[in-house]
Amino acid sequence: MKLKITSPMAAKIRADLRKAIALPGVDERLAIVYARFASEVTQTVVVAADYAMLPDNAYVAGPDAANFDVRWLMQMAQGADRRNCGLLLTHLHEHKGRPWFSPADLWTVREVLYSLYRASPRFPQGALLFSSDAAVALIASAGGFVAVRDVSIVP
Amino acid sequence: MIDTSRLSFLGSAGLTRLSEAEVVVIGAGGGGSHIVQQLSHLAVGTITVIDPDVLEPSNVNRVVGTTYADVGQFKAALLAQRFDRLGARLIPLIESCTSIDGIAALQHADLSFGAVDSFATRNDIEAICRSSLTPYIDIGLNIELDDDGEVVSAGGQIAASLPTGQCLRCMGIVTDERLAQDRLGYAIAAAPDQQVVSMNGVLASEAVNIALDLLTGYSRRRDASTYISYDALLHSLRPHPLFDASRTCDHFLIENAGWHVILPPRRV
Repeated sequence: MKLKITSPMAAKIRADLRKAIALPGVDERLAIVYARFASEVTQTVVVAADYAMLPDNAYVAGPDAANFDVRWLMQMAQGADRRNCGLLLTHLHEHKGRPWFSPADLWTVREVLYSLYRASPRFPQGALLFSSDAAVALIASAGGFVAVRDVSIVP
Repeated sequence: MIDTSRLSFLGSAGLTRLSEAEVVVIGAGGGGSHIVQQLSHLAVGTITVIDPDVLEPSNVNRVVGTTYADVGQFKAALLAQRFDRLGARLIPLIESCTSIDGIAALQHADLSFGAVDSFATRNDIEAICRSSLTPYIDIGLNIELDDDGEVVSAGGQIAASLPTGQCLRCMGIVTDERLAQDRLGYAIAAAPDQQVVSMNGVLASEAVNIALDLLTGYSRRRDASTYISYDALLHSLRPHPLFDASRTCDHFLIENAGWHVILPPRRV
């Protein structure tokens, strides 16, 4: 599977994710990337169509770097569905090289994001993770998640 | 395995990027054959060559890698055979680019080239590429002769339709008038049976250079033109006057990329 995102969009998302967040107990910002499959037939190519940052009041205090109120995510997922999009929960690990999801990230992917797929399997649902120079993704499918080990940053 | 003897201005990261790239070339004729040849020499990872047609005797003077003994064979298959031992993996697709496999190849590609005669085909290719965020580089050549057979104009263009930039309509290449002419059956080769192998070579070479830069970033220039005008009478290549790096496209919006579910009509 391939995930394509334009270079300007990737740059904007990274810049927004790097913005300081003045909320106690919250270390990381989160974004939502709105995504579609390129084809209804093969579903092997995902394209990033747009993005939005999780609003400040969506974050809650918790043990992990970025805990959020799941109701916000569900609201954004409904909005995505109306736009014929799926939703990729997105964040940044600030280092060079290919990143990978932490155990906390993977818990969210399995326990929260897979429910989006069950509700709306027509659209790509999952998670997207940036480093400073690379990106990876997990896209939900019938058997679990498909890993995209090198997100294509398109000029 | 990367052949380090080719290590050069592209650097090891650039060579790796090339070796992993998936590229589609639509049209295995005068322009496309040059592109396939050069991409093969560059050892681009996978090159899918799409063309449903067979080689005709009149094609041999400009389809590189072919001879008169090859007449009657499928052009895409011929190119795949000729250039398959240079490090690239060549996949011939003897179908239209709008077949299911053709569309899938374009959607999956990192980059695509079009060397076709018809504006309707260009329009179709670009729509698929824009929807799947696949950069598309189009080349076109045209020769005009007067009633005495003297050359009035000879040249063409290389135009890159990138997901965030101008499309072929923005660049004045695809127009409603040209599409209408295609529908009326006026789509003929812009330089039928002409001795244009060298002119095609110029267009193809610059198209491949643009692709190389897009894939590897070797020029590190953000202001490099991706819409180039070629004048074969003046022997010049220059940025097209309609090129505008800052302009975004109103015809293809990124937020509309991808497949949209067509919802059933509401019951009244």
